[in-house]
Amino acid sequence: MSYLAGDGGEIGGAELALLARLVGMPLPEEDVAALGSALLAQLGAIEQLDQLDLEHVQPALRFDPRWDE
Amino acid sequence: MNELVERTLAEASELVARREVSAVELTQAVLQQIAETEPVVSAFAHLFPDAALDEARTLDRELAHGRLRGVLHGVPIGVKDIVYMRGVPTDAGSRALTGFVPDYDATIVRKLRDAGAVIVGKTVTHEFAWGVNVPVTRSPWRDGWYPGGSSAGSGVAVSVRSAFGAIGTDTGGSIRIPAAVNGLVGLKPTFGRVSRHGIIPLSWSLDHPGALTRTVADNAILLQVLAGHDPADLGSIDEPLADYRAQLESGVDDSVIGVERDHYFYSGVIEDVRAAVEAVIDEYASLGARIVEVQLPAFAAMPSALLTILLAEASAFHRRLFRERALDYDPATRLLLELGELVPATHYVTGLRARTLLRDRVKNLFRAHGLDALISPTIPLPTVPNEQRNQPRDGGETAFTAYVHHTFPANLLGLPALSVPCGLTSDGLPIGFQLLGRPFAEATIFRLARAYERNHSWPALRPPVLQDLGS
Repeated sequence: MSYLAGDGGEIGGAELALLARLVGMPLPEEDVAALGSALLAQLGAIEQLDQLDLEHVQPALRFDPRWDE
Repeated sequence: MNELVERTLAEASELVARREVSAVELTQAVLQQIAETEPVVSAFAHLFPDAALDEARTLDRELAHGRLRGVLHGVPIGVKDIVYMRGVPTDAGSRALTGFVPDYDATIVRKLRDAGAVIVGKTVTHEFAWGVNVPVTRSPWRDGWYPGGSSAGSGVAVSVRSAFGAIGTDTGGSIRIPAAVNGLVGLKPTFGRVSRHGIIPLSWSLDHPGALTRTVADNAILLQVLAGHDPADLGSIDEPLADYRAQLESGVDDSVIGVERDHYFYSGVIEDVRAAVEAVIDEYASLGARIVEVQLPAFAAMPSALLTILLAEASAFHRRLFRERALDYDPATRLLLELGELVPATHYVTGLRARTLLRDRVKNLFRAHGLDALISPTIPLPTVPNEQRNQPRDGGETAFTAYVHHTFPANLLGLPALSVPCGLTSDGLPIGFQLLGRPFAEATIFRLARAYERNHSWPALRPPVLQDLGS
């Protein structure tokens, strides 16, 4: 579960207000609940990746320094 | 001190190959030097004196039967403690990895062994090579001053003659910075030239293994051993290997060397460093090189592009261990790993796109002027007291940010970059200059570096600590 989430798994208005302030985004009160749910779903999806054993796995990104590609 | 340790790696290699000195004699000389210097400099995290002597005896027996494994037969080498060696501790300078023992050798360790190297120990690194905590290694040039990093132990071990060469890794300058502050030659090869398989990553797309040595030829020998395609490393590139020593003595011919001043000679470069590198440029001109003044405003964007990528990749790698063992990390490393968690994916991708753009701009610069290399100070200032490394100087930047201002571009571009000693400051601290080459053109920058080196006695520089120890 996300560090942002409270005991009930919800993301509270205070945390969202803080995040919104950090990124400079206006956040109307009526949007808090929907945004909280969406954010929690997104964080949940990311945390699902933590269940994979990636310890010795290199990411599928590759930089090529050559000039004649 | 045993006089054998004053020999260069190339000389030591020849002495063993000609059977004028045995691998055991050479190893004993280095182990004696380690015993004398370690209490003062702490360059090694782990030492293997018994295993090293056993290996040296094996190598002597092989040579007695006519088998020379390779160019490093019997030559003692140090390996940075983020590189896996089967059966020996690899803790990467972190309590979070205390007691970890790999069950296989990194590709470069296998290559060193195949070439006959005697690995005497694992050298001290900044924690996980991040380069922010204060390492236990002490500068042999001035006590209490920064020994360089993150390959701190590798630089100091070679400087005090406790190894003929040492393996480092360079993600943002971690080979070239210790080379510069210790009066050594240090190469960050082209990205993909040397395998990272079995090396604890700091940043998958920015990490480059390489070597620190006292001479250019020694460095060329080690690159010859280390280089080559390795399918086990997804970043490895299958490009033909050059003979890195073949052209070493060919001089500068009509080589074209670029000088970019807005970034590499900005106001943060102290006067002693500026004067030393200007003298190198003048010398190249007198040797027959064509010196070309160039401009590339894009250099200014490189540190921020690199830092964005580095922060994100390092924190991605540490994600699981950091959650399990956060309190075992040094607070300085921890702060950067926390910061990396805050880099949005959109910024990371922007950093990667900037990287492509900047690579193309530098390619165009080299091609437009027909450059063989760009020359600059390796770092804008020499070593500083440890406690001043992260304190703002004039203009607000710290010594640390000044160092990486100069070293980051080569990592971002993936280009080979060689630090070469070129003198001392007025108060006796080493200065290095950097040659930045075309992709996979290590042989060219070795040749240019050697053309300068052979007119000077910098490889014979001895740090004051050796005199203090009566060595």
